[in-house]
Amino acid sequence: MSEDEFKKIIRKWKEIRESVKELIDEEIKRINEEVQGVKSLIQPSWSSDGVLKPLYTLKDAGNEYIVYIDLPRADEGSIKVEFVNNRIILKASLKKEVRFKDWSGVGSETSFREYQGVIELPIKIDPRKVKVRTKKGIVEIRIPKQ
Amino acid sequence: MSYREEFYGDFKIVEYEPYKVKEPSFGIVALPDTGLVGVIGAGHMVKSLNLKEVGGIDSYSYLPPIAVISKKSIRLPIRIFANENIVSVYSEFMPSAPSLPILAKAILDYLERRGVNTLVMSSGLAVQNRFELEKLRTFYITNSSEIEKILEGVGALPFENGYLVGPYAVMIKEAFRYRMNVVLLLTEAFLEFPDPEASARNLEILSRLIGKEIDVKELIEQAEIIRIKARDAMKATMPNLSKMRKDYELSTPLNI
Repeated sequence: MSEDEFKKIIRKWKEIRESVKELIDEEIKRINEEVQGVKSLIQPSWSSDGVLKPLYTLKDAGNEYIVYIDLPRADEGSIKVEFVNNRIILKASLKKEVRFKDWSGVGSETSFREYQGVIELPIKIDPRKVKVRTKKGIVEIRIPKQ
Repeated sequence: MSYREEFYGDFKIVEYEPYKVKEPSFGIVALPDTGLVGVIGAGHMVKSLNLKEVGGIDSYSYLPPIAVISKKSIRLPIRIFANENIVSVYSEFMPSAPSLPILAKAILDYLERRGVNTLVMSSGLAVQNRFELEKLRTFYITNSSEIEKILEGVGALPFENGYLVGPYAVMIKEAFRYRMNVVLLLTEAFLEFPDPEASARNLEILSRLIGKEIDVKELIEQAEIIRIKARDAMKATMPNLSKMRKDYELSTPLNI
């Protein structure tokens, strides 16, 4: 076998190894997403001690992350947002305790008084650079990547 | 509980009692999608127009094993409400993506045989700047010039180019195949948060189309409570929309 042929085989072998690695990584990612999805689905978004977990969404906007948090009926003056390492820790009281007669999973009347939530980001957050805005019960948090 | 049953593949349509609709009649289909706009709006319409629950749709293959308990009665996960000229198919649960064409066909066959002339659907158009928007725009897709005239009169805009992904994409394609008059209203909305404001805007237009007054004042006043109640349905909808590649709606057709 000539040296050129040998190099060609090695190159081909490396290509195959890379594509197999990519396939394995993709599959691991898919399984992780599925497991995370199931985990979040079977965790209720409320607890019987009156606490609601807020819905949120995280967007990668190039040079910053934008987090939107849905806090309907929250008292905007009570919204507390803290940043610890890569976490956003949120707490807010409702304007008034909200009672529901037809809430599923409690068998009777239930009520809620506050939101509590922790959101993890892929980066460490510098609280000095973060911008927070609130509008119609939705909180927008802009976090620069650097 | 059942008066009559029909089977479409693995879907079963059950009627709880006999009912008739007069012409012209409207089919209003509400399935979970962007901001649960259609589902929230249809729920309000059912209450406002006092539609009666006349049947339901179930599947042990394509839907989670759910029984809906409503006013002490056992109901199916996809619910059918009706009055003299409206039949509304309403679901807070998303069937699996591969079952959507079968479900669409089942719903359209059923509505057609029930004498429905026009299919009206309402959803949200996921826009990235929803947080900033005060005035929401409504777009429409229709195959009826008559409906188009009404929509132009109320300031709705034609959805001219782009992609539609999710249950309404399947419903509208199948409705076109059935040559049924069809309109889909799309109001700018949050993708991941329940958006009753967008539902209210769609309902104002829908009420013109069906010729019935639907007061959205209560829906707007109750918007925050609806947003609290709809959180779990929204949370359950998102992984399904993600699997259906909802992100294609944000890409642009290349050539035409």
